[in-house]
Amino acid sequence: MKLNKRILSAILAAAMTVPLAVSCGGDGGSSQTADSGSSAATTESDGGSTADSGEKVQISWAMWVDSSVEEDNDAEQRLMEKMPNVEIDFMPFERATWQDQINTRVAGGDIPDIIYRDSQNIVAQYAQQGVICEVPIEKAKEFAPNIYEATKDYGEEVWLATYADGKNWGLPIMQPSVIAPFSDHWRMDYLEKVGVTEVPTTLEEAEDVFLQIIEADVNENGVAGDTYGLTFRGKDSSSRLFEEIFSAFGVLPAKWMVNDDGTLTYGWMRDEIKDGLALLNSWYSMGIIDPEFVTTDAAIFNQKVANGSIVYLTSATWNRAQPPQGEFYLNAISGDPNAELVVGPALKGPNGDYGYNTWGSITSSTTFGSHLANDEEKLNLCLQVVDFVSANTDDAEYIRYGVEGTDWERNDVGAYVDLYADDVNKQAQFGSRMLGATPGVPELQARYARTDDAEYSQYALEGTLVPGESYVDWVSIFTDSEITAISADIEPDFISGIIDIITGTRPLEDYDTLRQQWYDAGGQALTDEYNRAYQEGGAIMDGIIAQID
Amino acid sequence: MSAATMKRETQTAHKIGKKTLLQRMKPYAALYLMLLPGLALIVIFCYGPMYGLQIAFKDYNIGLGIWDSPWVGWEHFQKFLTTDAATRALTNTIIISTLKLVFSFPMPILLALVLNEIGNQAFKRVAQTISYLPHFISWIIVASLMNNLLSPSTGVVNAIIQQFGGDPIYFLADKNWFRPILVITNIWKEIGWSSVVYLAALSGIDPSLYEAAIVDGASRIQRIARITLPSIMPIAVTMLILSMGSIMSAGFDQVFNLYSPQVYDVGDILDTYVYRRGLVDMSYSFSTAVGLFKSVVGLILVVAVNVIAKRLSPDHDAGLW
Repeated sequence: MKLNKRILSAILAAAMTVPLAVSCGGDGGSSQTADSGSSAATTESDGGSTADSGEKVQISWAMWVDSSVEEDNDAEQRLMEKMPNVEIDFMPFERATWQDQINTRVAGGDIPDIIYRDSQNIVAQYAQQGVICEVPIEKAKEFAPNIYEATKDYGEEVWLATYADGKNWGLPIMQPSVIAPFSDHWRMDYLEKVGVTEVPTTLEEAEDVFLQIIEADVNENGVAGDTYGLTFRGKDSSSRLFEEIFSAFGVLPAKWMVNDDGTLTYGWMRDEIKDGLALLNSWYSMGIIDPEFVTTDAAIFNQKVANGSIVYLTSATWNRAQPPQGEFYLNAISGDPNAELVVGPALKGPNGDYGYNTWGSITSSTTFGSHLANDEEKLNLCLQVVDFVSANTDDAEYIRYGVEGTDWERNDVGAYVDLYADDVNKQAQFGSRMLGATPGVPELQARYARTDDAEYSQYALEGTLVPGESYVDWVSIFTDSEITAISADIEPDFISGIIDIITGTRPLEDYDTLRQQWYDAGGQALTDEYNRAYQEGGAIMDGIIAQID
Repeated sequence: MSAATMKRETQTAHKIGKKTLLQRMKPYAALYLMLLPGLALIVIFCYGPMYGLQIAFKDYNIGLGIWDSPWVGWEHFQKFLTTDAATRALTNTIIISTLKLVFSFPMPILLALVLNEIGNQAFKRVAQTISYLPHFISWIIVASLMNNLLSPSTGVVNAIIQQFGGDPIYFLADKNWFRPILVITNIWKEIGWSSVVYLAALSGIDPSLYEAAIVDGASRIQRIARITLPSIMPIAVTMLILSMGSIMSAGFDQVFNLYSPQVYDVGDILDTYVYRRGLVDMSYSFSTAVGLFKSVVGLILVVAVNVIAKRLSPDHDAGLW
């Protein structure tokens, strides 16, 4: 009896330990199987019989999605319908945590075949870490001809998105809608209450309007003086602090500005900043600027807009070509039926300078797992898959959105409307948001854009601050992150001083001290590195452009 | 430990020493077998991952993997301890943690004592529930609550200050106020929840002790000082030792949601600093080095406080082990 008990406990203990061990090794095991499976499939395709034999090549494709999408969604089926020789496995990740999730997965050795990359510096990191494989531009031209051709119209410099260490690492993603994302909104109903019918176009006009509005009780809550001209996200966007005002003085603070002699200076370090600070300080003392801008983040900004306490909403639009996200504060004002937002041009300064912040044309990209370096056939096929869903074709449309009239329709301004938008589960299963991060060539994107965005785009792009001439965005691609990492350490102290000057805690003259401190704390090395990268990178960029015929 | 017990223990040890380890284990074979799954869990999930700690001393490269990444020795630690922003974060972490410990640690004990003395059971329960509800609100919500409450223009707190003729204070952007705000909000949020464990200890005290004390004419304060406090002292010491372990974590969620560049000087802690650095580059090795540093300091503090608690307690029996 005693022995039986012992044997029983031994068996129980063993039974409990075994599945544990198995489950731990499980991950490695299963991915092993998947790997050998796919390489077997490719071996056959080496013989050129992939399509004939009906053998499918398994391809995994990881990217973020901005709304819930099922793991096994219908977009996979639609793609396989059009490309019968592949078995696609879309891997949708929630956008907010996607970077961490994919890094963890990759760090564990589980590298997808196709990987979306958010920016060039992440491409460079993955390239350096040996996660992705080289894709010569010649190869891209052969196996992704639609994307290759489209880069010529869009601007060949977009290939910098996949450049690192002298090589090309993938296919660039083109997004005309993010080149000029921002413009500002005015509360037109407030302006009308003080007898102003046109949005201000200069700092002087704006100051007049602001002063009238903060005097009057424009939000009609019985309290005068609880409305401000403008605020800013000083908490979570502090490096761009009041850039809309500084740009009227000819400088975008967070950009690397091109000097007359062809060198670069960080925007915050340019002399024009001092003029902007003088104005902001006087606006602050007049009560035009919301005194709580320092602790304002995206959520609080929204709250202030909803309370109707802000007249001039900075960074309020995201090129309206992408509804409904195009206008950030439509939801916030929806509680007030009288509220009316009107877009305006960037404010002009005393010397006629003006311009909105633009993001460069170089954004995200599609890259390919390093294991494909030894599997030429499969790499070619992966390139073809990406090109196929990115081309300006009805097939790509079908894979992305299904059938017009059944799955989606156009609204009165011609923009795409998802017919499953109201049913989250249905939408997640249908997978219409699956390929949102990889929107395809510009012509394909244009199919779904609204047709009345000309006015918005014009404001976003016009001005005396010309991207690529007044300032450059691509230089960071060629800088050494060991040196530039210092910027995250030294910027907060500088910005803190800038805030003190705006609020009058420190005198305007202290700007020179702050600037010197920034240079001494590592800013000089940073500036030198950017200038080096600007010179050397320019030559490399010319070399890349020369490769595109 | 008295001389007698020590002698007894050496004798037993001597006697046991004659048998081999296996022989001694044999009578308990079934028990050891049952221990195996639990042991396996700990080895696989707690000690296994420590293999990855070596990347703190390596230049970790995802492609090469943990083992093949090149060794760089103390480079990451050096970088961490020589960067001004990092050392500032370290100092802030220690200051904020210490402030929290000094002011936040006794509060739940006080609350538990007060609740314990309340005769009206219904009121006691309501008070207890209300005090521990904030624990379930996430910091992001608390931060937005605080933003509204402490706002210099529309906040209730400043309205009161102005009522008494004071000038409004921009609490969340004021270097002098930021740390006190962290401590106070932390107390507000956690006081009820932390007091639960003390209330449990209080309910375990033998009521006859109080009855005897009342008969002897002890006042309420005397009863608290002589019976209640000594009874919950062991649990208080345990809680103190445990909280020493996390002294290098000054509360990422709280600070991250409340701070702004204006108060980095006094509010930027190790966790927020590493987070911001992580946004710039995929610095796994650097983050691991900082994490390892935090853990080692935490471990040293726990051991040290344990030793001190043991030395100071009358029977030298306080402490975790």
